[in-house]
Amino acid sequence: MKEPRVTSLWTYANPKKFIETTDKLLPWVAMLALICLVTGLIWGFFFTPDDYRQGATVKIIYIHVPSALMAINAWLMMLVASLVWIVRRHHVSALAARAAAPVGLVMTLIALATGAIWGQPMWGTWWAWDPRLTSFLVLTLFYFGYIALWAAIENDDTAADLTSILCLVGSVFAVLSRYAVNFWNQGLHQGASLSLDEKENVADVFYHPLLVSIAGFVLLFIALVLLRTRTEIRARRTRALLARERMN
Amino acid sequence: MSLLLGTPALSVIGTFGAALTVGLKRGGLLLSLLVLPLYVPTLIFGAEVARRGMVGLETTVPMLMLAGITCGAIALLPFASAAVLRVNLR
Repeated sequence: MKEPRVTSLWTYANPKKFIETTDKLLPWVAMLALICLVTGLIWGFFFTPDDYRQGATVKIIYIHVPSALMAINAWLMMLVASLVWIVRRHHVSALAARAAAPVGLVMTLIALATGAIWGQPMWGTWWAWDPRLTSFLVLTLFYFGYIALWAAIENDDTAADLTSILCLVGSVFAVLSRYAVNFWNQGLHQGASLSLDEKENVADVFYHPLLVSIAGFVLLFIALVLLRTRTEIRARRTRALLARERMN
Repeated sequence: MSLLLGTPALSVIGTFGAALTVGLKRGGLLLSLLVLPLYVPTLIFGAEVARRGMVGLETTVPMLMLAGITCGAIALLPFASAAVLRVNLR
């Protein structure tokens, strides 16, 4: 135990170190996520007033906004992880990107589904070719393509390389389509409910539980990604062991 | 005109998709899934040019955007395709 303390972030790129660290971290993150989610959602659903125009449907915001936020941030995290894989070739990074993809996809689908459920009574339609909706559909397709490409290639390193490049190219095109659809059509979707500009925010009664709920979703995402990355690392190790067995 | 400007972008994107799936036995469906979202901006601007032209509005802005996408795609995507092919040949 006399070793000098290594403070570099890259120490966590060692799979063993990663598993050790997350062993300690995961229960806490998961617990915090649960607390935030339960608090945020119960506070949001039962202790906030109905909106004067939207009635009770306004409460779907506590699921819709955080999941939409995480859908985009998950892709961002995959982008960073892919870059780390391309530049430094840390396996944990590639596996983390792989682990994040289905979580991100589910967040995207939740955002789309809750949006549709809200849109039906409010806009009178389940779906509209609105800029935000369309760019989310594009994001869904990206997630599907990314996951399918991971699943389709047998060699792990090749798959990691190809999906990383797809993620980079996809990010550029995702941003492009985000602004292209903006240009193409006037939106039905309202503006941001959250921003650093205080004036644009929703009223405080809705704002505070929303923040808690967002924190819950962020923590949930982190917990799920850590868990899935650990699973991937262990699965890969198992496969390597099995392959060695067969060689003997 | 918008066809002329958009087609190179589409074909370069197609090259990238084909490069990604070249090592797979059944890459057809996957290819279409990968390439579909990449096509979106090009198609939107192309459709916008056509729509504005039909209504009789100014078409310069979407036309320029389309040309920009095409130029960007031609300039950058071959490198991505080359990297992908190199990985696949490894």
